[in-house]
Amino acid sequence: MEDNTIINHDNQINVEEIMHEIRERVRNQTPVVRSVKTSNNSMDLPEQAHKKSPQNLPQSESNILNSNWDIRDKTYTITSHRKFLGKVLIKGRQIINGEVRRYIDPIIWKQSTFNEQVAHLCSLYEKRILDLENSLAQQNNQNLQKYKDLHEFLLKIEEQEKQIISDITHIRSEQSNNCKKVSGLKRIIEQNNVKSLSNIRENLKDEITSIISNKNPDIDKRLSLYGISKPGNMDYFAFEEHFRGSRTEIKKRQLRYIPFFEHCTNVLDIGCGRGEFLELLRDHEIPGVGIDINKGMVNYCHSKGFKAFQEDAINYLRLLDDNSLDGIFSDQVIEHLTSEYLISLLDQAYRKLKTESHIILGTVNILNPGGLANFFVDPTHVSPIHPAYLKYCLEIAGFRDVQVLFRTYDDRETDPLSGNLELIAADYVMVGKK
Amino acid sequence: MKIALITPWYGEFAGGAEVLARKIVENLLNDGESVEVLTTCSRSPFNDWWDDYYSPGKYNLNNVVVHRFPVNKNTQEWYHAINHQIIAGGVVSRSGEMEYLKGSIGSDALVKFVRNNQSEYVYLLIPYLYGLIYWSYLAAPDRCILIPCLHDEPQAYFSTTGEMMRSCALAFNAPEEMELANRIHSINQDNMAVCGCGVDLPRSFHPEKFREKFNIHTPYLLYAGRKDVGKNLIELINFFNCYKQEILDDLHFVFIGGGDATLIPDNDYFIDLGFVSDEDKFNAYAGAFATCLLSKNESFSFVIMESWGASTPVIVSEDCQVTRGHCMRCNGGLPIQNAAEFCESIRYLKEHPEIRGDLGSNGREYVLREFNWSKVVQKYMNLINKFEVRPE
Repeated sequence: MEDNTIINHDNQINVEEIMHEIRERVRNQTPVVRSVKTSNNSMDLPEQAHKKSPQNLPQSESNILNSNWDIRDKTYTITSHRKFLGKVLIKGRQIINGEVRRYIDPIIWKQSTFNEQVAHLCSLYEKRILDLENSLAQQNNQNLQKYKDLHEFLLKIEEQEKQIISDITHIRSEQSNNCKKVSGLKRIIEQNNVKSLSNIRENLKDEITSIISNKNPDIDKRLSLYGISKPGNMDYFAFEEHFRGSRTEIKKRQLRYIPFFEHCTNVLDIGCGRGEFLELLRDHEIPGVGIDINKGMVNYCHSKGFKAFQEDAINYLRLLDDNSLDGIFSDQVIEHLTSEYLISLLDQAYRKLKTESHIILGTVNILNPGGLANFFVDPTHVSPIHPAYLKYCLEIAGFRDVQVLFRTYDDRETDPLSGNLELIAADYVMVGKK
Repeated sequence: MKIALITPWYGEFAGGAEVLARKIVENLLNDGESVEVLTTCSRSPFNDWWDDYYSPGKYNLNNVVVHRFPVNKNTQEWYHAINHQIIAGGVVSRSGEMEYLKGSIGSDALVKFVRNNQSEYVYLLIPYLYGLIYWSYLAAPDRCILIPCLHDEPQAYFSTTGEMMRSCALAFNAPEEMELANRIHSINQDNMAVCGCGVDLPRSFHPEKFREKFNIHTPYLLYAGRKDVGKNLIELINFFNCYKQEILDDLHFVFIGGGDATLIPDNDYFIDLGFVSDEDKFNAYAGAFATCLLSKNESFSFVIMESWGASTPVIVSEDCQVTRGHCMRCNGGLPIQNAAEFCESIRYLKEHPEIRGDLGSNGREYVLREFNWSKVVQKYMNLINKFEVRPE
């Protein structure tokens, strides 16, 4: 992974601390600020509500009311300090006082009665108001306590929320670490699997090579069962170099058969010799394997980087799964085989090829007198094979669309009846399709 | 190594992903890389996705070679059917996802081009959301770098999104976006990087010019960008109204950018200037008391980067992981949760002008250090260079 870290250079200020301070300030604010989003009306704290409650009636006012409701004047007495005239004056005043009070006293009496009632009611309401105030104060105190409890409860919830968030962050971090561990383990397991598979593949390859090598001493024996003999102490590689033609020339001749193997993934070249056709396959990015009974040829193929085994065709084909090949090519090989071997070979070839796959067998054209005359230049040739016979053999093995292709080396049109030997192909190939 | 950027719209539209796409292409080109753009003939996300506005062909936009391909026609019914399902909160099946992507903006011609030229280019795909991106990825699965621009939304949970996340190399805009992708899809961590985006800043800022030009001589908060409900703009306006109810000062709120102007209250404290030039925009940032962005869905946020570029602190939403993450990393802004915190943050910044200044300069230092183009291009090239050069 790339460097995904964006470096946090430490600054003098810290946003986390600033936000903590801001949140503390919000917490300590009155609800009016805290609920500013939803309410336009101010909402006071309980303490403030308590301060604004109605005031008590002053005690002095209550006393004044209680002591002054009776407006009757009981202090007035008629007296005179004059010794002789006083008696007359007193009598006169009593008459006047009596006449006046006869009119005023009823009013004063009524007023006093009214005053008495008012003063009584005031006392009563004052008492009730005091009771109510006490009750309200008590209620306010309870509300305040509740508010404080609620506030503490909210703080606790916030603490718990923080703890939960911290736990979640921790769990996420652990989860992330676990994911990384699982990913790492997965990678290790995959690597181990790949390594194990690779080892198994290598071991199998070694084992197969070993089996094949161990069996190699039997090749001569097995071939002899079919009446086929190896060239003995003859250097067949040198022989081919001398008589068969240059690799370039052979590749040029074989190139025309590549279209039959386009898009194939597993083509077998039986009797691969110096690997000309294997090279053509590689040039066209078609995976192919060669087999040859000649160790020198196989070694040469290995030196060119081709996959090749020293093995005889029937035995090699038997080791393969049915329907596992998608092409078989064999040029200048079948004339080295007995008829019995050829029929067994075609039988195995048919089993191992996939449907729609081609087999191409090239050999000397017996119809060309020159070819026939030179047939036994190669002492390992067993018998020339007539095209009609080969076609028959392929057909009874199960192949369809069997066709014979006569081609001159320089790609001129063949004309067997012209009398011109150059126009009668020296070789032919038989093409069959499963 | 030839690079091709694939995006549904390229040209005049300036949404977040589109601006990012354009800037990446132009800066890779400036760095000497061979970059081309593959896009559709549709004009913008606000025009018809299933109709060609431009003619198909090769264009040259600001020295960038742009290949426009015709869009797929008459697939909108599939898209709308599943889109309704998504909006209603329904679970979308795998086949539903495929119908959604088939119906979404796409171009078979563009995908065919990718398939036929898969070994010639490394493909940058942006953003993950559209069918065009998914089908392009399938046409060259081992040659793609996805720039997802991922948000926590229903499409992020699609199995097809997971496929792309696990197969493509990934370039994220922020660490929080990468964490989100990892949380949803457990992505492979070997082929991805947080590249971010370069921020282009002017050499100097002139806030007094902005004040003079628009006759704004009081302190102001700034909102820059599209006026859109999706940007949580209504909540931001409510918060500011609360602030004004509580505190009688001369702080105003200035809006620059397009979008829905009817969202802004008809009130003396709100000033909507609409589109302004780049020069005015940066001068507005420089003169602002703070820039506010309470959007909860940001995968990078050019707005806060530009504000910091002008040394102005930002107020963002605590709920937006990306903008909050930026603020925490650089100590350059305040992430708030509600109106009370919004009001108190402004009051705090008013009381502590030196801290306001520090927040702004921390932000600017962060932008210059992390989001300069040479660093961003280098991060992209590190990803691109991991791809094998194939013969043309």
